[in-house]
Amino acid sequence: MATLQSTSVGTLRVDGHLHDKQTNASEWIKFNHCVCPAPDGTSDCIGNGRAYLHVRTPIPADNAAGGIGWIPYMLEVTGYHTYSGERFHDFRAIVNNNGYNDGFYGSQVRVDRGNANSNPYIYRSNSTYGGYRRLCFAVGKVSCCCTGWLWIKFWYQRNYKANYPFAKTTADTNSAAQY
Amino acid sequence: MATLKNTSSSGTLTINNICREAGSDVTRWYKLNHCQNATSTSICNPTYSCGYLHVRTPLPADNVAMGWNPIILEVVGQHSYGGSYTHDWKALLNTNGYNNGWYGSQIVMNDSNHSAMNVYRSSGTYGGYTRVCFAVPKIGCCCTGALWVRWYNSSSFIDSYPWATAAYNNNSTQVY
Repeated sequence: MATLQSTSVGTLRVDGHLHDKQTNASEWIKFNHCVCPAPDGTSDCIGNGRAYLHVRTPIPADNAAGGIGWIPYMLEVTGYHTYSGERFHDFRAIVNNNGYNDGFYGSQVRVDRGNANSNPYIYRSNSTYGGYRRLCFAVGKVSCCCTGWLWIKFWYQRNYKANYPFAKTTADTNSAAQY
Repeated sequence: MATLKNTSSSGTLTINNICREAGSDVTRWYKLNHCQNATSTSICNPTYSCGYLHVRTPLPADNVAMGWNPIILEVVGQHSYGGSYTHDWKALLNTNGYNNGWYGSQIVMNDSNHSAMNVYRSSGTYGGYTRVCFAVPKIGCCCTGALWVRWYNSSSFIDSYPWATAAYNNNSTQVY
């Protein structure tokens, strides 16, 4: 891999991601709303999908991972679902773990500029994935595979952004943990 | 043009022009200035006194960039030293995948100190496509003020055609 020093360029075209480590914020991560089929047999592809998309992120919500307890970070999500934006998401949540006892501080959505049907909810997975419980969130969606994208960013903890694969599923509610 | 793979810069990376990042599919912020005079005193008299800035972006308002695959356009900025106008809004843009029809000014979030923005499709073509344009209010002066514009989805069009700005006396006339 080429390593450059104090490089200056004109136009830069990056086919993958451009990581700006100095900011300690991740780049935007693009994600699709559509789940076909879900484990319970429902499927957005045939129009009987459920009302909420649940996303499991790679970020540990677990002090054992190191650098988590008492170090709040922000989860930012923007995006839409369906052609006319029936669901529009635009929120930031503060995520934190108790540094003493590993308690999780719940759905602290401090900025929410989405529409009335966005309903973001943030939680910690009940199970471990790759040895840690992970940060998860849910947002409203429509029961179809209509076009819809999420863009996800982490402010802080960018070093964990590829620590484990993202996953998604659907549910009837936003607050019941799916992972 | 050099093509690199998995390149790392140990120091500062300075990009003097456009940066296209396909991985996130979000454009970098593009900066524009509010200061613009009308082309004629029949539009604004004096020509510096126009109340709206119209911006033509490089983004095609066309199925080549959209077509049942909406784009979020985001604008932040301010005009005048005291921020007489502040802009902080997002619009959802789409075209009809069947007939290339345009879905107008769908402002899905607005934290500006006004609601006078308007997003439209150019009436003319530029580089073969109609382009996404928008208007925002401004003060009739060249006071300090900048706009930052970016969009989510179809980010590769960021340098597909030159940007343009014009001053006008309303936000609804399709200046472009």
